[in-house]
Amino acid sequence: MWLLNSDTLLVESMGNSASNNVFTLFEDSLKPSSSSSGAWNAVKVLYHPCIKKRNKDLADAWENDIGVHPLTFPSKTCLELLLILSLSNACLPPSLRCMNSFQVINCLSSNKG
Amino acid sequence: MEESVFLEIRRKMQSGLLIIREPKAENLPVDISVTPASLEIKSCQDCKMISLPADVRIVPSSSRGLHYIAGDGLYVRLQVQADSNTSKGEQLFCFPLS
Repeated sequence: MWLLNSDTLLVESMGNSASNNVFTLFEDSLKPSSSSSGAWNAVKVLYHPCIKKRNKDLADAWENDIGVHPLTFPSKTCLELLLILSLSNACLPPSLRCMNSFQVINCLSSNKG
Repeated sequence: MEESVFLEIRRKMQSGLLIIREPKAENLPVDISVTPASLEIKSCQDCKMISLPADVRIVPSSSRGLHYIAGDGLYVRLQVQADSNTSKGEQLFCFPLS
């Protein structure tokens, strides 16, 4: 998982698109309800899902890399995080969902109104 | 019916990527007006005005690279003046999830 572009500002306005249904899951956090707009400071997150042997070669390589710092969480926590990541990934315009081989999300950090 | 608008601004790059997501056929044509402080998306059925935060301004006549990606939307690159002092320094973290 990589975090970068911490100078990102996102301005979004939801129409009646299918992605609204995904955002309603997070209505109690930073996201607006449907059809409203807002601005957020954001960070771009690049990640590889590594459960069920996906990206196994990469995960093995990282495990053997002393420059990589593993953090161990309960598998339930990892699955919840992956669910949030994949839902957020699905909300991006399709051409922005992948960067090289990484999955991409924009993680909202603070509301700009 | 309203259009979804996605605007990603990089304060340090002073650049913005505007995406009008998948305008629906029944909403076309769509008029897009860009002013320094706001975006206006006007279709035959709806008009939507999006105001930018006070410290962000779009540079007049800087729209370029207009293109349409099927299933995705209309892409426009914009030049932006944004106060970069309000953002934190560049941070980079790396860790794998096991």
